[in-house]
Formats: sequence, C-alpha cells, structure tokens
Amino acid sequence: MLKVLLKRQLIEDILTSRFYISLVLIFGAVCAFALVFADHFQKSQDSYLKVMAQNDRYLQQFAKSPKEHLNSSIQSFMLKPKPELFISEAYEGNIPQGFLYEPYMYSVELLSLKEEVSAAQHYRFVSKKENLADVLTYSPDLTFIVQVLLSFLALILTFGAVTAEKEKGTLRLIYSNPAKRAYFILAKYLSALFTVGISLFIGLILSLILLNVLSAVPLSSSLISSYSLFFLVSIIYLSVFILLGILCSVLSHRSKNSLVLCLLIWVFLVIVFPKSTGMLLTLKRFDVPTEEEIYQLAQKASIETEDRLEKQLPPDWSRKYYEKYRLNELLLKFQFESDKSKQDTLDYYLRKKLSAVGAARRVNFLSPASLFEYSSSSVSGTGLFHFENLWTEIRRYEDDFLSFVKNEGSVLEKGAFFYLNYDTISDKPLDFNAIPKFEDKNPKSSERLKDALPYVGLLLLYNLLLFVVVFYKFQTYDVR
Amino acid sequence: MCRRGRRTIIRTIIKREFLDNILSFKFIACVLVAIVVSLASTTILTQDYKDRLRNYDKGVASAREALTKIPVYSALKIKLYRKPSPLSIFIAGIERKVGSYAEIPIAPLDIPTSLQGGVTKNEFAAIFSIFDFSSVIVIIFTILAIFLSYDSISGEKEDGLLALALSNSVPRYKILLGKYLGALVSIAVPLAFCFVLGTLFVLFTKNVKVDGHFYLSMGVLFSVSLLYLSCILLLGIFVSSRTKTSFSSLLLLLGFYLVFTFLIPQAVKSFSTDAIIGRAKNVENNLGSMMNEMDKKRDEAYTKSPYKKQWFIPGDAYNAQLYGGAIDNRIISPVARENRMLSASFQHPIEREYAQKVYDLKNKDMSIEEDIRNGARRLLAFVPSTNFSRIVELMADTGEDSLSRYLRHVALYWHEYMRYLDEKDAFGWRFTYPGPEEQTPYEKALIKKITDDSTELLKSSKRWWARYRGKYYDEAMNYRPKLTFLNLEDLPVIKSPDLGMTERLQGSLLNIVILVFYNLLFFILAYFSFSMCDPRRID
Repeated sequence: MLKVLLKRQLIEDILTSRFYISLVLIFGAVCAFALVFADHFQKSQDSYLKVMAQNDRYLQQFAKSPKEHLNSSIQSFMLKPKPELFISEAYEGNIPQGFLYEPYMYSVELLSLKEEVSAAQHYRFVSKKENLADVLTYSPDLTFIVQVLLSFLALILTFGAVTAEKEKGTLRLIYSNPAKRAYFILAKYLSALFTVGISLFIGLILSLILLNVLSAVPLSSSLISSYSLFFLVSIIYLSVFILLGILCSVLSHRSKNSLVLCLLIWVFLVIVFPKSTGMLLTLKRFDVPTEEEIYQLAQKASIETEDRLEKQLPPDWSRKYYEKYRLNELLLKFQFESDKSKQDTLDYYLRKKLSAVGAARRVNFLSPASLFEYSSSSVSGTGLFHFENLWTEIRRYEDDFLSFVKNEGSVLEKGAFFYLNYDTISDKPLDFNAIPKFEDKNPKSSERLKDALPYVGLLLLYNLLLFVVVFYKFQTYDVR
Repeated sequence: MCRRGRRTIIRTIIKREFLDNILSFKFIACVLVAIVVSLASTTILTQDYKDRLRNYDKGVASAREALTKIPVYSALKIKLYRKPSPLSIFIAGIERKVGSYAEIPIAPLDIPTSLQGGVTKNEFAAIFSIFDFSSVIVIIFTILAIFLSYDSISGEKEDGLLALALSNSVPRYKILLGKYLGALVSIAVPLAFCFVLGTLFVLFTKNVKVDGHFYLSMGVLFSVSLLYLSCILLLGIFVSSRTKTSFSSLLLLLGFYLVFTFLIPQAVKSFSTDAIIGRAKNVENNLGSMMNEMDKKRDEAYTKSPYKKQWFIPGDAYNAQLYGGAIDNRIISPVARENRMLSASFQHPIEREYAQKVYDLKNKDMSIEEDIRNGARRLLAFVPSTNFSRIVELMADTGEDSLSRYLRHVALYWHEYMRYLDEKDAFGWRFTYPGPEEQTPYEKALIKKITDDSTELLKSSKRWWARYRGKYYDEAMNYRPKLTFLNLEDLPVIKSPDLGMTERLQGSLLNIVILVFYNLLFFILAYFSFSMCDPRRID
C-alpha cells in the first residue's frame, strides 16, 4: 500500500510546473554561482601562492645564514582558499585572513587589514568593502541554494499535502481503501524528500562538472567526500522543512491558509531569525576591548613582567648589563618572558572574541537554517572552523619550527634559538629543505563531521519532534 | 448627492479593505515581526551610534590636546575625525564599519585613502549582519505587501465577491483604486508606527542630539519607503488580476521576490566584485617599482649634495620616546644643521612628488572600482528593492559615496595643509630641530667644547659625518633642555563635506524617477488587466 501511495505522490510531485520552475531557478543559480566562483577562486589562489612564495624566499635567506638574518624567519600564514568554499563560504572573507609569525619576537599576531593589503592581498581589501554582511548579502555558494531556495521548494511541495487532497475530495477516496493514515503521511514525506533530494543531487553533480570544466578545481576524493557530507546534511535540513510544510497543511483547513502560514514560517526561520540574533548579541557579548586597547594591554603585560623580573637583578644592573645587551643570557630570558606575556595577552583576547562569537551562534540554534549553515561550514571546513583550525595548526607548527632550529646550551625551552646569547648562535647554514614548512591542511572528514555533529544532532532532533507532532495531529485530522 | 455618493463608495471600499487586512492573521504576524525587529535594530544601532559619537568626541579632544605638545614638525600627525550621522541608526550603510578617522602623517608623507580606527570591537562579529530599517522594509514589509495584494482580485474572484461588487453600478477603476488605497493605508499605518517608534526612541536617548534636518530626512525616508511599497502593492494587484487563482498569484510573486531581492542583486554584486579585483591592479603592479624609483632618486640626491664634514650626537632617544618623530639633539653644530637643511631641501620635494604619485595610483584603482560599482548600480536601479536601498542610502548619506566624498575632501585638505606647512617653513630647520632657535650659553659652550674635541675624529672619518662618542658624549646625551612647542592654532580646518537635503534629493533623483515610473507602469497595467478581467468564479 505504501508503495502505491508513494508512486502516486511522486508522479504528482514531479509533474507539476512549480517543481520545474524551482528546478530551473536552482540550476540557474548553480551555473551563475559556479561561474563567479571559478574566477574568484583562481584569483584568490594566485594571491595565496604569492604569499607562500614570499615566505619561502624569506626562509631561504634565513637558512643561508641564520645569525645574520634572524628577522627573515618572519612568515605570514593565511587562510588557504579551498574548493570547498563553493559549498559554504561561511563569511570567510569577512573574518581576519591569517597571522603574522615572528619567531624572534615569540609572536603570532593577527593580520590587520592593512597588513593583508600589503601581503599581496589587495583583492581582499576590495571584497571586504563589498562584503558588508548586510542582511541581503549572502555568499554565492551551495549553502545559500539549499538554505534559501531548496527549503522554499520543500515548503511549496508540501504545503498542500493534506489540504489540497481534501479540497479535491481525494482524501476521502483514499480512506475508503484500507490505507493506514501513517502510510499516507509517510508517502507524502518520502516522495517530497525524494523530489527535493533528486534536484539537489543533480544540482551538486552539475556544479562539480562545471567547476571541473571551468578548470578551477580538479576533482579529488577529498572534494567528493565533502560533497557527500554536504548532501547528507542538506537532506536532514530539507527534511525539517518538508515536515514543517506537512504540519502547516495538517493544521489548516485550506491550502491558501496553509501556504501563507508556510511562508511566514519560512521568512521567519530562514531570513529574519538567523540574521537578527547575532545583532541582538552585539550589545552585550562582544564587549571586548578594541584592537588598539588590546595592544596596549599586551604592552602593559610585557612591561609588568619585565618590572617583576628586574627586581631579581642587582640594583646597579643597568650600567653593568646594558652594554652587553643581547649578550647576557639572563636579560634575554627576561626579554623572552616579557614577549611571552605579551603574546599570552593577545591569545587570551583572541580566544575571548572567538568564544563570544560562539555564544552568539548558540542562540541561533533555534533556527534550523542557521544550524544548517554552521554544519555545512563545518563539514566543508570553512569559515570560523577553518580559522580556528588554522590557529591550532600554527601552534603545532611553531613547536616544530622551534625544535628544528634549537641550539645546544640554551636557558630556554621554547623560542630558544632566537633568545640566545648572540655570540653563541651558530652561523652554520641550515638545510632549507629540512626546515618545516607550514601548510594549511583541511582536517580529515571524520574530524569535520565531529565538529558538525552537535548541529546535525539538533537538526535530527527537530526532525523527530516535527515528525511526532505531524503524525499525532494527522491521526485526529478530519478528512471531510 | 451624486458627488457625495461617488466619494463615499471609494471610502467604503478603502474602509472595508483596511478592516479586512488589519484583522487577518498574516497582517498581525508580519506587523508584529516588523515591529520587534525594527525596535531591536533601533536599540542596537542607537547604542552603536552613541559609542561612535563618544569615540568621535574623545578623538577630537585628544587630537586637539596632542597638537599643543608638538616640539618639531616631524612629530606632527593629524587625525581628522569623521562625525557619525544620526541617520545611520536607521540606514546603517557602511558608516559603522569603515573606521572613524583619517590620519595624515608627515614622515613619510602620505595622502590617506582609507579611514582608520573605529569601534568594531570583535572582528569576528562580521559574520553576523545588522538589520536596519532599509532591510526591515525590503524583507518584512515587502512580504507584507505581497500578502496584502496577492489575493486582492483573484481571491475575491474565488470567493465570488468580485462578481457581487461589480454588480453595483461602480466603475471598475474605482474598485481598483479603492483596493489599492486600502492596502496602501493598511501598510502605511504599521510603517508609520515603526518610524515614529524609532524616532521617539532616538529622541529619548540620552546624549543623542538631533536637528531639524534629521526630522526632514526621516520624513523623506518614510515617503520613499511608502513609494517603494506602493510599487510592490501595484505589482501584486496586477499579478493578481492576471492569474486565475490566488495561489498561483502568490507563488509567482514570491518567485519574483526571491529572484529580485536575493538572486539578481547577489549575482550582480559578485560579478562586479570580481571585475574590480580583475581590473583594479594598478597598486598591485606598480607600487613596488614606484617605491624603488623614489628610493633611487633620493639616494642620488643624497650623494650629490655638497655637504660639509661635521660631527653629530646620534639621535635624541629620550625626546623621541616622549613626543614621537625624529628629533635632533639640541647639541648640534651650526654646520650640521645647515647640512640637515640642505638634505631636506633635496629630499623633501621628491617625497612630496611621490606621495602625490602614490595617491594618484591608488586613486586610479579606486576610480576603476567606482566605475564598476556605478555600472552595477545603474543595472540594479531597475530592480525595485535594490533601487529602494540605494535611494535611502543616498538620502541618509551613510554609504560608499559619502565615504569617498569624505576622502576626496581629505585629499583636498592635504594640499591646503601642505601650503600651510610651506608657509611656516616646516620642512626647514624646525622639521627635526626642537626650539627655541636661540641656543643657550650652556649649549653654545658645550657645542664649542665638542667641536674642539672632534677635530681628530673628523679627520679620520671617510664620510661627511661622524658620530661623536668622545668625553662629552654622556653630557650631551643626558642634557634635557626644556623644549618649546609649536604654535599650531592656525592650522587649516577641514570643511565638513555634508550635503544638504536638496543635494541629496538631486543625487537620487533618477532612482526616484524610476521608482515613480514603476508605480505608474504597474498601475496602468493593473488598470487595464482589471478592466478586462472576467469576474466570474472558475470552478
């Protein structure tokens, strides 16, 4: 019986003009977005490679004579443009683009906009001005297509699930057969899910082909795994809207009312709610000092550390040690401690900022559209997740790099090489190829999935909840 | 009698439509959402505006304070603060994101092309967006307008009421006009409510002062919003009279909404951004070579200059730390001072020339950017929602145009400032030599002592200068003279580049004309299609 109902429903769903129109809309959007993305991706990749080449040039200089060119160990680590950005851009262009690493100052500092511009990143400057993150600005990516267009399609397909049948009088006919009510709803649900799923699937394949043809992105197993994860998450998200559509239909007596209700819910859940909660939190949660103030605080921390340490020195230390500055190990150790406390302060505030944004995002958990946005950003490894990942990778790299250049006989563990008695730094050239190089790797798909798990779990919970409500409501629905 | 009757029939229709609308669930839901969102946005943006205003006041005061404590011209750094506009509470634009002041440094010379600072505390907050009045209208009120108009004809047709209404001897255009005005009134009421609520909120907020110009602007913003919403209403009525069922009319309208509010503007924006990145490459390609060219020229001038051999005490670390900038030690021989002035007279024109060149280069990129943006805007002016956003942005003067106008003024001011500095001979001896000009007897004696002491040193030196580190070095280094500060009270003041109401209206005239044209077009279309519409119910 379920099979018969499903077949009937599928034919009905697929053979409607609204489905075709939506399909054309979706494919048009995919094509346009892919065209835009291919161009943009190549440019950002070029720019990224330029920065990496500059890092290599500096490191080569450093390797040739480390003692002479201590400052050439400077490197800038940027967010690598990934092909996954097409799945979910997640406002990656709006957040800080990376870090400046200066091992001789024990510092990993956020790149400010100005430095980004100088780091051959002029294009970021331009796009930042355009990317105002105003309410009408969405990133042209697959997430937008699913989040806004396909969710709309899902509602359009289901708003009349029950009411239209009632209006036509077919609902009573069906019940004259020995059909279970559960089967009827299930058939509606599965058929809509299949219809939406198939258009999404075709859209994804189309985008993969387009990206490949436009020679922007080579097909790789990692990209395909990201795509399939995204597909899975999208289906779970769209299922919420299908159930919402059926619920509206069950709750109202006429299709017209059901459609209006659906649209109200859609506007609220997809546009108004996700776009306004972050705003509500700007007031309280983002109460961190400004960039300049943080920098001053960091300076203060480093000076305080110096003052504290200076007390350990003999009272007339300045005369004795000053001339031998850069030769005295104790002073260098103090220098290191003071640099470290500065860096710790900067890290503290960066962590605070990120956690404030995380808290603001948590309010959005009420809306499935935001949940979907976050989970798709996590499964494709972009956006804030990418940034946090970059940060931890840099920390790991710092250890590798410092342990590689470590000299014998140092008073320090970390940062030893750069805080050595200048005479004892060896001037032996380093092997450039052996120096660890930084690479912004996309984490494994299992890790990405793990990060997305809370969001996906909540989406599943919404599904379950809605399913139960729909099922229960329909059991007592008056079919006349 | 006849006249009165005619008037009352329209009034009756309007009244009926109005009551019908405001008592419906969709209307109440939409209006509630609109009020909540606009109230929240006003609260947040007012707070934001207050923060920026405080920042501005503090900045202006501290900049004025800083100007009284400048010993040499090389330490002079002007900060021009840009006053935030209270209209940015309602039309946020980009004002709150682009920084709060332009900094004009003197060493190295630079004409600013962007603003600095600002009160954006958390860079990562950029992933969230801010709802302002323009987005509330484009998103929520547009949906409301669609809801009010999609079934105005086809819905009545379905209910069979249309045939009834037309059975009276009422001309069709009156029914159409009545329906349109009824819908307009029912949308104008909540819109006015939101505007009044927002204005009252701002009015009763402490420390925020508004003038007559603000009220006038709010009035204009309200009228433009109503004009835009009327355009959507007329489109809705037109579509409604062309379609058979209200269901298909709603679907069609929402399709338009999705395509014209989200897809097309997004696509055009993305394309224009990419075009800008692809074409505005002057800075990227030429800045490096231009800088090298300048360095080379400067080096040439430096080596060619006929300097006289002289000693000097390296740097005044103490004063430099206190005041910033390059400050000479007052213990300096007259010949070395002449050398300094000579080198400045060679190098300064080169620096100034290249500051202008770099600015031109950046400006070239910016004008390319502006051209592409304007092209995109011209295209988007034909989309009602983006056209409306553009008009209100121009009206409130918080968008990119306002910023680039400000920066152009800053560039103009820079020339004025340079003229002022030339008049004061700022690039002469006073550039690095801290006043007063007359050296004290103690200083003269010390200089004489060092000059006597350094004859040997000068002989052995291969260059034209020699760092003196002899027995009077400590004395010279530890000498802390009382410095006099420059009198900068007659520094030129930047003129505020604010536009008046008429100029703003002029700037957005074309866009408004397009909006009016749409209104007329949709009205005529609705009129004709309603005149031909078959009022019978389709079963």
